[in-house]
Amino acid sequence: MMVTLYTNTADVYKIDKTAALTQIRQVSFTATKQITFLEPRIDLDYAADISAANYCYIDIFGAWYFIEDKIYDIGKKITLVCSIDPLYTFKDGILNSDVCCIRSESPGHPTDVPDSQYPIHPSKKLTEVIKLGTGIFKSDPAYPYFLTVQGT
Amino acid sequence: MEVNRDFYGYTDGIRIRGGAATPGYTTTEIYAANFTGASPATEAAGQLASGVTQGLFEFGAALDGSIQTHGIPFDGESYNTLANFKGIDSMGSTDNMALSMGIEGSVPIIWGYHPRTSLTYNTNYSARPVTYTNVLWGPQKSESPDATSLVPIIKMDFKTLLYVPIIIASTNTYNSVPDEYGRLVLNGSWRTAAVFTLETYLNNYFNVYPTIQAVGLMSFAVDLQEDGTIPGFDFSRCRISNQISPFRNLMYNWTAGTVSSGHYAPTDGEILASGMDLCGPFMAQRDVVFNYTTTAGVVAQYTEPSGGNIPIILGCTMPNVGYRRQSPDLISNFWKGVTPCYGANHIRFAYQTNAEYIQVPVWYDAPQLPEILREAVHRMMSYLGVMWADDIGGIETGDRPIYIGTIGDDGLATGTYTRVSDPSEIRQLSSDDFINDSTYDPSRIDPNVYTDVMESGTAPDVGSCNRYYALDRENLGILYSALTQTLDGVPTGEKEEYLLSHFLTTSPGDLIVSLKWYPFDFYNLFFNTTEQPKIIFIGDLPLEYDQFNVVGYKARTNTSFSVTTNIGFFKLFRKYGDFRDYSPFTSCTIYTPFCTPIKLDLSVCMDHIIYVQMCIDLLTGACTAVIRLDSTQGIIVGTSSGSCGVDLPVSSLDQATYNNATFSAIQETKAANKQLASQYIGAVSNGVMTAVTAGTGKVPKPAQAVQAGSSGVSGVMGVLRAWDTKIAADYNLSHIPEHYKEISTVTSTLSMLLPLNSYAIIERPQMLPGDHSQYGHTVGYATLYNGRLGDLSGYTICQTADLSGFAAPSSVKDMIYQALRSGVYV
Repeated sequence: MMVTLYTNTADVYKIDKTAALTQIRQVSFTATKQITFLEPRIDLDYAADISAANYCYIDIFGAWYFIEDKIYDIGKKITLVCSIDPLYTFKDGILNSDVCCIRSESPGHPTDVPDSQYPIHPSKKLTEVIKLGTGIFKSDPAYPYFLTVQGT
Repeated sequence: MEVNRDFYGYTDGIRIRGGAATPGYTTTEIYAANFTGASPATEAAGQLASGVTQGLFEFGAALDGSIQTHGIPFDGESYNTLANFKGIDSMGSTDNMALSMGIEGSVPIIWGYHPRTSLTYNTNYSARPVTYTNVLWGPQKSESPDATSLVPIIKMDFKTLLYVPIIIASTNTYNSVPDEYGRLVLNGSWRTAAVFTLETYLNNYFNVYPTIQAVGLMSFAVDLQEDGTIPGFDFSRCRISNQISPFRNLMYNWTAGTVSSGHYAPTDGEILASGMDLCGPFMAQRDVVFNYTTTAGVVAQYTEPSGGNIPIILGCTMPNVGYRRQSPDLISNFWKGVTPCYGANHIRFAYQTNAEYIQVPVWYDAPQLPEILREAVHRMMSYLGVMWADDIGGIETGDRPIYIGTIGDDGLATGTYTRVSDPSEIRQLSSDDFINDSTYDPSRIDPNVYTDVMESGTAPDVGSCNRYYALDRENLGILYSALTQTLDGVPTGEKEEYLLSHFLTTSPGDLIVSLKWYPFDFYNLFFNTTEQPKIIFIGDLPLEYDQFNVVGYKARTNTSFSVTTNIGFFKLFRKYGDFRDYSPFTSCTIYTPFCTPIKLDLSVCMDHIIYVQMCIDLLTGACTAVIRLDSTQGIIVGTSSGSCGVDLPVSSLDQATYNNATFSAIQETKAANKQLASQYIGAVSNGVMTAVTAGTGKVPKPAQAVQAGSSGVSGVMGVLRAWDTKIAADYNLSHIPEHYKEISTVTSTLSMLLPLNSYAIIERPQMLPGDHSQYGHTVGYATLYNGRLGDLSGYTICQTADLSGFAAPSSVKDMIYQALRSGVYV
C-alpha cells in the first residue's frame, strides 16, 4: 500500500486542490490494524519530511485525505491521523453536478438578485437631482391674468 | 379560390383563376433595367419606347383568396400586368390572380407593385424603408391586407434560382425632420436607380444606399457548369416577361434542325409534353408559336441529337417593340452556356405565348441537385425574411426542416440560416388543408394585441357665453378703476337704468366671472397673439380709464382651454447595473410645480426615458402632472394633481358696487315711501276723522290704501299696518341682490415659492466605508444560478445540489452536500 504525501496550501473547502498540492513523496506502508476509509490512521516509519505533510493520497482507497494529526510513537514510528477530503476525492463528480447556487464569486459583481449582506450604508444616500428642461412656469409671465367676462 | 398544386410534378404552387381579360392589351414585359445602357427605342437611359408598356414581374400566392391585383400605372393608365396572361381569356384588370413561383403555403407577401424600373418618375410611390422581416415588396400603391399571421413557407424548387431584384433609391431625399420616433422618412417620390441581384447589391451597393426600397423575387433559370458550379450570370441584364410562369413546362422536341434567324412555325417542332395541360388555368390550350424576326435578334440555340428526353432548342423571340438593341446581348447572356449539365436527362422550359412572340426561359432540371445550388438558394432566401422549406409534405409531418434566415447584431440578414427546431409545431397553411398541424393548439395563442402607447386625448372646445382675455399687470391695474368710471357722466336718477341697459345688472363687477393669475404665458397657447391686444368689454361697454383703454389679448374662438405641455424628460439611468438600482435602495421622485411629488416605481421605470407632462385647465386652474415612459405618448406610470391658477379676489370691487347699489336702493325706496306715507297719513286722518265724526255728519272717505272699515279702530289699524309696510320697505334690502364674492384660498401663490421647474430627485445607496474588493471571494455575490457547478468559479454557496452523478458513500455525499451549502471554492 502506498500513501503519497503532500503539502496542501488550499482551503479545506477548495474543490480542486491540484494547484495547491506539492508532493513530498510516496511512502509504502503496511497496515498493522484496520484502516477506515473515512478516517484512516496510517503508521509509517518516521522521516523528517513526513512532518511537513498535511495532505495525502492513499492508493488502496483512491481517496485524498487531510492529515489532521501526527502521532510520534516510540520506535521511530509516526502515525498519520487522516480524514477524507470528500471534495477533492470526488471533484469531477461534484463539478459535474447540477446545483442551485445562491451565492457565488463567479459574476464578479453584484447581480440583480437582492443581496442583504452587501455592505450598503444603512442610512447614507447619494442624492442626484436632474432638472427637466426649462419648463413653462415662471414668476413673471408677461400676460398672466386670465380674465373671464360674461358675454360673447 | 382554386388551388392547383400540380406543376408537372416538379414544382408546386398556388394559382388562382382570374377573370376577364383586358382587351386591346398588346404586350407587357419588364426588363431588369441596366440604367447605364440606352433604352431600346429612344436611346435615352431608361426611357421606354412609345407604345411599350411596362410591367414588372410579380408573383405571389393566394392567401385565403384575398389577393389583390397589381395595378401599375403607366402614363396614367392603370393596367393589370397579368391581364394579358394567355390562357386566362377571361382575366380582367381588376381580377385577382397570382403567378406561381413554386410557393406553397401562406406567404406574407404584401401585395403591391414593383416600382417601375424606368426613370420616369411616378409620384404615386411613397417610399419607406423595407425591412428584412416578412416584407418582400417595398412601397405599395395600395395597401394589401394579405399579410397573414400564418407562417410563410416557401417551397423552393431548387431547379430554379431566385433572382432577387433590389430596387434602391437613386436619391436619398429624406424629410429633414425626423418623425416622433426619430426616423427619417424618405420624402416624396423616389426612383429606382438600378436593379441588382441581391448578392450584387449587398456586395457593392449596400453602403451606398442603405435603404432598400423593394425586394422582389423572380424565378429565373440558370444553368450549371459541368462541375456543378453556378456560372457567373449577369442577372442585371436579363429580362423576364411578366407573363411568364416559369413552371409551365413544355418539353419540346425540335426537329427542324439548327435554329437560325427566321420564322418558324410551331409545327417545326413537336411538343412532347405540354405543361399547358398540367398547369391549369394559366395556360391556354394552344399551339406553341415561334415567331421571331431577325430584328429581334438571334436566338441562342442548341441542338442535340435526339434520344430519350432531348434537350431542345431554347427558342426565344423578342417582342416586336422595344429593346432590340439589347436583345442580342441579352439573349446571349441569358442563354449562354446552356448546356445540359452532367447527368441531365432533359431540359425543361416554360414559355409564354402571345400573338407575337414566345419567350422561353429555360431552367435546368437535374435529378441530383448539386448542393452548391441548394446552398446558394438557401442563402438568397435567408435574406428575405421568410421561412422556407424544400419539402412541404415533410414539414407537415415534422420530418423535413423549415429554414429561417439569421439576423446579425445590426438587425440585418447575414446570409446564414438555421432550422426551426420543430417544424410540426408551426402552424402552416398547406394547399391541401388550410387547417394544418395536429399539434397546433389555438388555446395557447395569446389573442391580445399589446401596445406601448397611450395616446393623449384632445380637449374639445366646450363653448360658453363668456369672453376670455389675457391681461398684463398694467391693464389689470386700471381694470377696476375703469369699472368705477362707468357711471361717470351719467345723470343721477338715470344711473340704475344706465347700468341695467349696459350690464343687465346694477353692478358691472358682476360680469366678471373670474380673474385668475397663472404662472406661465398661457396666452401663447390659447390667444391670438398675432393680433394686437384688444379693448376689453364689460357688457357692451369698452373699458377705459382716464382715456386709457383697458386692453388684453382675446382668446381665439373655438378655443379649448385645456392643454398638455411637455415639461421635460430624462433617462433613469441604471447606475449600478445590479439590485442597487431598484427599490428600496434607489428611489426616484418627480417634483413638478403645483403638484404632489410623484414617486416612481423603479421596477417599471428604471432604465427608461421618463417624460413629464403637465395638463392644465385654464378655466379652473387645475393641473395634473403626468409621467410617461419612453415617449410623450408612452405608458403612463404616474399622475399627480394640483392647482396652478391663483384665483384673485374681486370682492373689493363688489363691495363698492354693493354699497352704491344699496345706497341707491335705499334712496329710491325712501323716495317711494314718502309718497306712500303721505297717502297713509291722509288716510289715517281721514279715517280717524271719519271715525270721530261718524256721528256728526258727513266725513270724506279716505282716498286709498286704508282698508275700508266702518270703524275708526280698524282704520287706525290699517294705517299702522301701512306704516309697518313702509318701515319694512325702508329697511328691507332683500330686493337688492347680494353680489359680494368670497375670497378664495390662495394656496397657488404659496406654491410659487417652490421651484417652478420640474426635477427628478434620485436617491441612490452608498457603500459602507472600507475595502470591499474581496466581497465576492469571501461572501459571494447573491445570485440564482441553476446549472453545472463546474461552470462557476470562486467562492460558491449552493442551496441544493444533485449529487447523483457519481458513486460515493452516503456519508461522504452528506459531507459534500453540507460543504456546498456552507460554501466551497470552485
